[in-house]
Amino acid sequence: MTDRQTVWEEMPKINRDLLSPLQTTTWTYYLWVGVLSCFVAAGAGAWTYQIQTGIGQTDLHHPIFWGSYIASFVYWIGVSHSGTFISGVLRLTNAEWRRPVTRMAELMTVVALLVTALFVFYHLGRVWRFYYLIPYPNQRELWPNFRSPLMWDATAIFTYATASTIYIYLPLIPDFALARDRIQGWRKTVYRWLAIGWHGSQAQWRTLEMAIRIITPLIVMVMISVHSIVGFDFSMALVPAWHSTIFAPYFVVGAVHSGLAMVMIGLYVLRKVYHLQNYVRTEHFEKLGKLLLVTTLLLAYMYFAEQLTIWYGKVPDHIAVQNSLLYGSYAVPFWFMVSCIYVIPLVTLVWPRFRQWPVGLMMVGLIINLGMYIERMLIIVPPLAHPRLSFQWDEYFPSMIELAILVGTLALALLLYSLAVKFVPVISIWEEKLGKKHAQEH
Amino acid sequence: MSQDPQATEEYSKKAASPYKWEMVVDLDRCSGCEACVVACHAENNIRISGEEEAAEGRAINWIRIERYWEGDYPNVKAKFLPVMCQHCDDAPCEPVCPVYASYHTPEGLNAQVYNRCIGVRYCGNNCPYVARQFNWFDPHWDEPLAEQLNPDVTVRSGGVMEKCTFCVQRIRSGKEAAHKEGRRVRDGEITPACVQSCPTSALIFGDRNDPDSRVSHLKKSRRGFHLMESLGTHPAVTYLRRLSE
Amino acid sequence: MLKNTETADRHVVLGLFDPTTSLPPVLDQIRSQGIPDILIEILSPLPLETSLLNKPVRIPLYRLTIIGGIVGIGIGIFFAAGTALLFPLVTGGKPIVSIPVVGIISYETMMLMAIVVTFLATAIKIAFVQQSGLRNDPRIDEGSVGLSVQVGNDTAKAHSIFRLLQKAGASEVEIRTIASDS
Repeated sequence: MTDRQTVWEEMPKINRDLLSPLQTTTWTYYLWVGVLSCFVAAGAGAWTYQIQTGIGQTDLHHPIFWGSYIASFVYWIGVSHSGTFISGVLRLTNAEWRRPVTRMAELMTVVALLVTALFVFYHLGRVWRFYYLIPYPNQRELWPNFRSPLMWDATAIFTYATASTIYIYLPLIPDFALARDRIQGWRKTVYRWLAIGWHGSQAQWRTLEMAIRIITPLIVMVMISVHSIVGFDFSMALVPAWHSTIFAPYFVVGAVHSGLAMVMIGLYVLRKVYHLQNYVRTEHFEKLGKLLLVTTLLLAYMYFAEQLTIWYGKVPDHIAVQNSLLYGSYAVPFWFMVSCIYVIPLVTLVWPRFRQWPVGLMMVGLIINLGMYIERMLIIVPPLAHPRLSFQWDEYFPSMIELAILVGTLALALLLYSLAVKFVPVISIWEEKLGKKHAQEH
Repeated sequence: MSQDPQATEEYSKKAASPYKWEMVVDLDRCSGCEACVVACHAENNIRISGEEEAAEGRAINWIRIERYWEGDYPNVKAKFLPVMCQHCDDAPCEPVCPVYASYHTPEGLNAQVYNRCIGVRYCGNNCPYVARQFNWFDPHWDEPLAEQLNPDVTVRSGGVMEKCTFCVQRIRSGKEAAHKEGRRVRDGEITPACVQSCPTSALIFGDRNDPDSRVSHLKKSRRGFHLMESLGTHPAVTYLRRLSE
Repeated sequence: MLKNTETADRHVVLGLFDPTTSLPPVLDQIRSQGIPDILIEILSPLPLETSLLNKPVRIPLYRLTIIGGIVGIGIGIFFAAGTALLFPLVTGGKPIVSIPVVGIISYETMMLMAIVVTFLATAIKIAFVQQSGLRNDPRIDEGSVGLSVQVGNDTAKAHSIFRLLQKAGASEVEIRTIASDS
């Protein structure tokens, strides 16, 4: 009984701690937002210029029709898998340690998906005609072709974006109610709408818990299908070294790998900035580190299986791509990538002592993300650069306009996340309370 | 003959038209002079790319002569391979287009609808012949070159995919002329610009459904093969091997 | 104005309890006053494991999820197969209706509809409970459990419940009157 009491007595403190990012803002925050806004504006300018003058502002040329935008698209969808994986899979397996991590990961999912959608638009040759992709009856008698993997992709991402918005919103309802009662001003009105009359009755709790229990397995299945379909975008094509059965699962694992690494960075930064040491403890970094070790091994295994098959088969079209990676024009980024996403995580994360070191884990997260970005580029560019007719072989490196758009979009993602942190409690308050209660009861 | 019977049968199900346009490229006759490339540019309003754009790989060519070197110096031989859209019966570019900009006409042509194209460029990736060309910028012709544009051919804006059409405008006017006279198109009546301008007659165009057409005869040649036949794309262009091989 | 306000007003009694209080005896006392479970509600800052109240569930949520999923499959089949048949355009190497494509698209639409329907049903359920006169009390989130009883227009009963809750150890009790025209 005395144990139980402590959770309840701690509640005012938990409320205060976790709502404080919403209530207090420092000048460094404004500075950070201002700097990010400048980068976003630069990126927007670069995109405007590209629309005005033509998609030729990229370095794309035939036969390399896809480049950094599609690579970024794949990368950002990968990041969006962080939230669903962590909160979905860990909720399903009833892993108690997930509680302080889920909300910030889910927030990453939503932000990453918004950003992902942008890359489709950057990529289009005639972006002002994007609505040709939407199936609605029109006088042009146009209809999208659902046999195209790109339409599968559009459908899957629409589903995923809708589902993950719902998935982050549902557990937020009690927290919105909490904020509604404690925050004044225009935000109170917004919170009142978003809390849809939450008052914490058992009927509401039961409904909410049931809904979360139903949606969790569904969203995990959506997550797996989404990145599989992103993999299908490539593996359905006849391009040598794309046409591979391993692409779908490989993409899913790769996505989780970069997603977890991103969560590691977010966890570290948020903990530092908002003094969440009482909630995000070393234990959480350690558990994430273990998961990251698993995805490293899994991804390395799949990559090895894929490359070994190409190497031993020695089909000329495929081996040309592999040679360009191993010791050709893409060797430098390739070996850099291999050390970033396989070697460095492996040699660091296997040490139990290292997994206790948040700064180190955060740095490994950064390295993995850098490596995964390069990996996405290396999946897309070298196969396209080596078509079967060797007369057409070519090379590619992103142009300044492309790089400006990529950086601007990264800044946009950071900006959206920073703004969201001021509106949404980064740790699910009621779930944290519940977790504490469970911990004290057992 | 390389066309497998199953594919021909499948094709006949798709084809609702009396014509099936095909081309034969006799590699033994090709001298690599690129007259076809020039003729194609003039006929089809292909945008002019400067030296710089060409160096960036942005020059558009609906037909190109690929040149491969064989042997080591000093015993080198240049081999020429004219490559244009192969108008595959099972074209990999068609199903991947999300907006039906790339589709199959009843006459077996692989058509590109410029107005529909939004420039996702998946078709370009999926074409094993790299036949598809993209307009990276809006087209531009210096005066007075703009005066010589072919009125029968659309000028493509920036951001759309394009490729060899087998000079569909010539096919259409040939068919109309024949239709007025109430007859089928005669063999040799329709010639795409490249075929017309080939000094060595290495390119032959005609109706595959007409058993007496030159294309039908040449296709049966023992020299005949298709480019990357193993991919199962069933191209409408047949290449004839060089005699020296 | 024509209505008799005395009969149309509704009273809600809310008692705040220390979370360590054992609620079942209190609930029994309220029940003995002739108030059915449907009018009693326990408010808490986190879901309580045990269900102390006996309330019938009208439609189980998962059933709506399944219905949504089935509708979604139908939508997927309509988009991937139906519209292709309505406007058959030949593309190389693929039939007009491609079964794997129908499978992929209807999988996604199934998930979409299942999740959206579940969400809408949840949101409606959560928002609908509010109309029964319950209101959030910020003090609950600070670590107490609320017991709310609806007593209709019976003022005398409201007062007796008020006293009952006070006696049962509630740290604070209040009666809220909801005017009929609100």
